[in-house]
Amino acid sequence: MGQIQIELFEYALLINHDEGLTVIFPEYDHVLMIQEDSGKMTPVARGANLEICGPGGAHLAPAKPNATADYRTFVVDLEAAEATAMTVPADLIDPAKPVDRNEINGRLFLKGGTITGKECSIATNRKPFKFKGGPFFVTDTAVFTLDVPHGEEFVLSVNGQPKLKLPAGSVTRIMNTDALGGTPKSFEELDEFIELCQVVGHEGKAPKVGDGIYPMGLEVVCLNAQITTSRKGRATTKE
Amino acid sequence: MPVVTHPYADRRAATWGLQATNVVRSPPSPWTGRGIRIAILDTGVDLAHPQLAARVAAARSFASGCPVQDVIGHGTHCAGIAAGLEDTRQRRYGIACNAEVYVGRVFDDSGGTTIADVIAGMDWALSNGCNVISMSFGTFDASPAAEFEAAGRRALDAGCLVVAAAGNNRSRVVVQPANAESILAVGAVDNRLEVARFSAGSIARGGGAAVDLMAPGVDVYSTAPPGTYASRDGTSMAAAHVAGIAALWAEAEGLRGWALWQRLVGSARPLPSTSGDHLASLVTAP
Repeated sequence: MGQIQIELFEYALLINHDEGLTVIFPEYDHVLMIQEDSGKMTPVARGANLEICGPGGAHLAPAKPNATADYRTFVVDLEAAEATAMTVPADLIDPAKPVDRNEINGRLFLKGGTITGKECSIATNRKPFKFKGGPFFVTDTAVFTLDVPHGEEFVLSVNGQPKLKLPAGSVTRIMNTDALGGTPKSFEELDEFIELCQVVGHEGKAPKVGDGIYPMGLEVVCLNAQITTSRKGRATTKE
Repeated sequence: MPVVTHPYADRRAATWGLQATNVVRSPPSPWTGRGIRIAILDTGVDLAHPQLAARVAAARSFASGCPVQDVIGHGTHCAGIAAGLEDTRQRRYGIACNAEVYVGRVFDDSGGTTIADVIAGMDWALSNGCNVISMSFGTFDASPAAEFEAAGRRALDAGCLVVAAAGNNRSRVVVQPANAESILAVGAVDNRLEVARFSAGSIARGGGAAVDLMAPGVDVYSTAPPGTYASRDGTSMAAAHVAGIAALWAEAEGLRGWALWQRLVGSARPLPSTSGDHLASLVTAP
């Protein structure tokens, strides 16, 4: 048994549901790229559906990924951050329903495996931000790990077509970055959070950096966030 | 100052910031900060960096459990601007290239610090006879802190100028510690000499303290760990420019403390009318 890793880097909304994990990559001046294990970078066409598949592009069985404690710690929960329940539109997690290409760069459908969060890649942002619902960490990096049976080669498919082989031991980064010419972002307020909330139709409030003394080099974070929903699209109450 | 029709650009010989502030000029300046001690209170420094390794006269960490070695990169970048020299292609990015560098690490590995650790770093710099203290950090608090005001005053009385980043915030207010009257507040301009979109300025929304000087703070090239180079933005980078240039003035005219402050501000050039801040001036080297 080997493992493959998919690193979800920068701007993304991770929707947890009973049949898997659907990752939404909002546009908002970001560009979606695939970085192969070799380092090769490939842009993804707007509005694409990406999926981790078995050999030959076979769909994996629906399964909810195991979420680690670090996932809950570092990948901010929209509902907790906003201190309110939200409704996830069912179409967002339905691969048969297209998304608005002007608003969403793409979606990634994950099943089974384990999802975890890592500390923010920008060290100076490794402290709680002040959200409406309280202080929470933010990060730009979540990692999905999937066991691969010996001798089998999984693939990353794009719009139903196998696009990239994922050999055991490989680490593939799917990045939704604003490093390629996006509009300037605020340093002390994470405006991008507002747009993440709007993905699920909620008017959010930008969190501010917490109290403290900060190096005044300008390092904004394109954050990940998560929300949990039932398969029918109704947000669930957290434990 | 006339409108900048052609933006400054990094050239083979020097970064745009060193051109704009007259550090690199023709004929070449004789001033290199020799005999001047600059303290960099920050995230530490890459002690193995080929451009900085031999430049550090003393180093001490005030961040509990953290060695001086910089794992964040911010301090290494600022130290390079203030007191580095040139990269492997002989592009000059550093200002006071013969000054003695005193590295006080005040941030931990997550970029956190306390007022007490910063004050301890300032007092350590004073005890080592530093002439300039560079503090490229701040809070988001526009109300001055008495501790910083007192520490800045102690420094001026001891003949040491304290320079701090004015702050990165959309409301343009000058934040702690730069908003202390005894600490020189530095805002950032870009290569058109326009006030950076993130920088505090002379005209803050809602009033408050004003910047004392502007300096290059956008797309600033300098040292980075491990042993490499990178460009960064921030009023941090602007403050480091002023710290380095203060060392040049200190060497050139023997000025210290408050006299050095007055010379820096008095010799600064008004920003062009397009700067977005007609009250601010650009620091200029001797």
